[in-house]
Amino acid sequence: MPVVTRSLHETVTNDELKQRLIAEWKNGDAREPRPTIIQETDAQGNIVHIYVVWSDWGDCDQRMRSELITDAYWEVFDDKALALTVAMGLTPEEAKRMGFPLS
Amino acid sequence: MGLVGKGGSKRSCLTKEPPWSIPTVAPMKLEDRVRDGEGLLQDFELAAEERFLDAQALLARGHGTGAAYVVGYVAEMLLKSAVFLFDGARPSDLVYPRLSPAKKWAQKAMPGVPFTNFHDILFWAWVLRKKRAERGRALPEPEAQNLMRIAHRLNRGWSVELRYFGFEVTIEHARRCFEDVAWIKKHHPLLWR
Repeated sequence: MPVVTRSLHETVTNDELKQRLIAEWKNGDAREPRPTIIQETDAQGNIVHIYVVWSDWGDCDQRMRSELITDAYWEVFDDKALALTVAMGLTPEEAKRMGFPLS
Repeated sequence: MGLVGKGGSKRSCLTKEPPWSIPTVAPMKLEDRVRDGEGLLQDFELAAEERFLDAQALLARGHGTGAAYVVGYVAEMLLKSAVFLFDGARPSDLVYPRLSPAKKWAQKAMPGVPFTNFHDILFWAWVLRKKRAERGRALPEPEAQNLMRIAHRLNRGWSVELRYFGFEVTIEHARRCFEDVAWIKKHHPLLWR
């Protein structure tokens, strides 16, 4: 049997994901792969739903993705984030499987 | 299409083929459902109905701890679904993407209200009451007061940790929990509309 060496070191940490989301909202993160952020508004123009399609989600589970998106959004927009009711993170494969529209 | 028969014999009207084709959807495997955790909002409402009946059956058999444990989740599911429906969710919407935004909202809008975990009945009752009030659609005062009284009582007498208990919960306590949750169940439409 061949020897297999695997790294237990996380390639992308949750904090790094959050910081990159913050950077994306603030001024557009230059690092690739960049997330595609889809924001839906209510009748008053408040952003109520946020979907982040990103290949870097990797092994981050869906609840954690939601928490990271929520935390990052609040950090950037503060009280404007009070209207937020949905935060969902998807990999491009998951988005495709769900038939999620990317525009 | 008409009546379809095999071997030349006609079937009865009861077995008449429908004029449309019913798509066959493979049921999701239990393992996948367990892995995915919470499902859709409509799953919550169906599960709440079923767990309520489970609790009723346990109560009838004198299983106080089991009845109280199970019925507490009914309150949790109904309050969460009331919050999310009030927020504009549809029954076919996923539940989990709504949890973190609700928690963050509460930290900002009600900093004095503690958050234990997402099973916290009192937390969800506060969220519902506050959200409704902020949008100018406060619950009628008698129902709002009763909701909070019930949520406080359940908060003192129920937690997910009941699963570690033996036969320590009296049947009277379980019945009290059951009656409190029955009130929430009965008033669920009022809570979110």
